Amino acid sequence: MADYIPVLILMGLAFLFTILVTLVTFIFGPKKPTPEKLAPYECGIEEIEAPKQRFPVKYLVTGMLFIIFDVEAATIIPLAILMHSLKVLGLVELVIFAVILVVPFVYIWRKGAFMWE
Amino acid sequence: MSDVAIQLIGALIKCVVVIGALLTIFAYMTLIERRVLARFQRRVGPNRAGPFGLLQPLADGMKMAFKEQIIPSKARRFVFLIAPSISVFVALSAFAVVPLGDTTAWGNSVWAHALAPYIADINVGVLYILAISSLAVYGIVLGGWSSGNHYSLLGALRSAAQMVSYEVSIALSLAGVLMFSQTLSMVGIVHAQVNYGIWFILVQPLGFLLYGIAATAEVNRAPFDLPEAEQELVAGYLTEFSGLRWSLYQMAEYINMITVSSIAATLFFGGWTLGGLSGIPGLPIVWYVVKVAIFLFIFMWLRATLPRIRYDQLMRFGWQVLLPLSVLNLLATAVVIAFGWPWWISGVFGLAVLLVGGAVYYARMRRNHPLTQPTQDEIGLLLPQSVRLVHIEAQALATNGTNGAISANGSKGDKSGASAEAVEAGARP
Repeated sequence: MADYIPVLILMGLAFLFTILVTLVTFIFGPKKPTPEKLAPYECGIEEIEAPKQRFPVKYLVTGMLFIIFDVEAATIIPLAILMHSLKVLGLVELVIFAVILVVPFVYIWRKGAFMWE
Repeated sequence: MSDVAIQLIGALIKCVVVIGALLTIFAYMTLIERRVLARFQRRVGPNRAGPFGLLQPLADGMKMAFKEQIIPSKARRFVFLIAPSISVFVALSAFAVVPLGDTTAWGNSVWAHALAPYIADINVGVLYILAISSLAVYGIVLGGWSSGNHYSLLGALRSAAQMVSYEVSIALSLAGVLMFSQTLSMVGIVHAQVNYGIWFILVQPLGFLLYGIAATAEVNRAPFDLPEAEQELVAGYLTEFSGLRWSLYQMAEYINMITVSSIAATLFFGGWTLGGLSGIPGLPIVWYVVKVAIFLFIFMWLRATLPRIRYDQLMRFGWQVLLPLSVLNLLATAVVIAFGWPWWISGVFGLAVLLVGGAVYYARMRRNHPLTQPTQDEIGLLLPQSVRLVHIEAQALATNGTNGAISANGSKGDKSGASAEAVEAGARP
């Protein structure tokens, strides 16, 4: 646990730094708001409609794929560390794990989850 | 003083130094990048403020601090205020486990250990960096979403999808190195390379290339800087930010570049070691800095050289090329480790995959864009066959005589100017 105290100190200082910058910029910066200045930037034309709070489902699919494969990565890293002592047993585990993931990977590939139009 | 107090004071000093150094390096990276890009484009770059433009970062910072903080009326105020801070907080925190030298770099006393050139040597170092740097996406997504602007929202979504897509490849390509090092501690990985007597780039050439590509995408640098694609998205998630809070995002981007370069140097290039030349105090840090500087220069080189790729290409490349290749690399490394084969088999396998992949890529590119012999045009221009459109137009102009200047140029055989025009036009369809 003692190893992590320096990390926490760094995080604390980084946090202080971000607060400091935000304060400095509000103290020194001028404040002359006008309605035009505060309008969303649309390259000079008036905004036709506000940005939707919804977004294309493609991003959601990507997010779900990410979760699957990131969990895979998080599981594989301990296995990778122990590969020297597990030898062939570790390899068999890794291959089984990889096959379980490759089958749905091929499936979603064929379904066109990676085709962005 | 007790040992604990010395450790705490040492840690505090190191944290202040690291934050100060990172901010200074960020400031001068902007200057160096502008100068380097200018040289690539045969310009001079900023050289007015101070000798060689050395005061330019200071001038930029001062100007930024005195700019108005615009909070758009459509913005969600609180999230909009804290979003850039999240980015830079995460970027600074990720640097905690990067080692600049050995534990005994300054000797063996208590103070020397307290001031060892890394902030913390935790036993999950690589996982810590992966975990913290994946939080960076929050700063960008919240910033883009809270701006209440179409461009910001789209830039943020793109950025999120891109970062999560490439993060998987990063973790999997690093796992190959971890199999050889048998530890997650950054210091331990360097020691493992010293014990093997080699850098892990020789063991994992494929893993290094995959990591390099994925890391470039992860920090949103060219050619993967889609979130900031100014031709389509103004400035992406940065559109509504101004002043120092805009430069916080820039700061986060540059610090992330330094961090991923440090990981590459530590995991693949032996960190602070360089053969037997790491015994003298202070010298290890120089080697580390040189290695990181080379990677940072490569980032600038890529930005100056490669055009930005399209978004669908980006996503397909990440999922259909990088991910399968990193799984392949992982399995091959696991086979080498499990059967106790010598390390060079893994290296040879990586090189073989790279060669085959390069050959396949070249063949596919040649199939889509066949090599053609340049042909001599009627009006004396040397044009590749693919420039059909310009060929016809030039002929029409020459016969009609509607534009005297161009036809005169053509007939006189002003090859350099006319062919440059032709190539420009030919690149467009």
